[in-house]
Amino acid sequence: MKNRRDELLGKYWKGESSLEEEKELRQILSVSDDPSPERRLFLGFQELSNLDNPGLVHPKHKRKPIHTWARWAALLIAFLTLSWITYQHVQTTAERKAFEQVMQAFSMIQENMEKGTKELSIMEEFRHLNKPNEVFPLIEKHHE
Amino acid sequence: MMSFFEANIWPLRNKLYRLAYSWTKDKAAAQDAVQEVLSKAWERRLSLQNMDNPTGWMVKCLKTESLKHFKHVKKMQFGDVEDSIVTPQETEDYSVYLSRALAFLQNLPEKQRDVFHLREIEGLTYEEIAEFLCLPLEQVKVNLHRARKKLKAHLMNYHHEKPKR
Repeated sequence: MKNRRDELLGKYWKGESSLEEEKELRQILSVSDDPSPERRLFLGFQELSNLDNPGLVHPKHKRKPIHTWARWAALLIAFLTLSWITYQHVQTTAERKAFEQVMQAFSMIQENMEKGTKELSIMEEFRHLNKPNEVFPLIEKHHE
Repeated sequence: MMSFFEANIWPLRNKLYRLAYSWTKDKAAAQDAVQEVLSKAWERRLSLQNMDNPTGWMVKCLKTESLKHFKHVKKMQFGDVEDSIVTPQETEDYSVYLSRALAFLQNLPEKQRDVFHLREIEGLTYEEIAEFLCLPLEQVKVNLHRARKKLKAHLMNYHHEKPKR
């Protein structure tokens, strides 16, 4: 067995071994209890060659992934919608505030007008002063 | 009747997974990379059928996807992983043997590593390796020979170092 191993190793290092011979060499190395570094390294290669991944899913069963551009587009749409809602909210609030200010101004004007009108009511007493001919016509007639 | 994808692409999945794993040394990253490549191949299955070398295309795609992993973890160069060689103490995910095999592979230049991997781990013929890596047959042989020389030197060093320990 050792002779065969050395023979195969010799061919292997020279690059003259066939695939079958390399398989045989690996087989010999894996069953022997020889603690050589060659054996350890080849066992490592063998372990790597047995490594499968059952977690791989056939693409036809896989949900179509969302592309990067679609993610960006979704993000942009969300951003624009949020901006529009915020803008609308800000605009409505500003309009309401302006309306309230105008109404307050009108209310103040109305209040002051009412106050002013009340103060002018005293002038009602002097309403005849602008009609002197009506109040004192007799005096003029008497002179004649 | 099996489709082109089922017959030629889907059976490559574990080979691609092992190749990506030997590059990334990360099972999850290797799985993600292969899954992504399979999805791309599925989307292009009709044009892939008319390609001269669909396997080579898959390997190139896999390399790109694996590089994304390196960019993600900020490991700069694909081949320059000297500082990231995994030792068995670092993770329980590796056996001592596997860790040594990976460490040896990581020290090889890119072409030698890939050729060596496909021959030793996957047991492919020179022609199949040439197809996988889109390389001329001569380059496959030369790179494999150089990798084996390095393996021999690596083992010789090990023999020399061992008595000192």
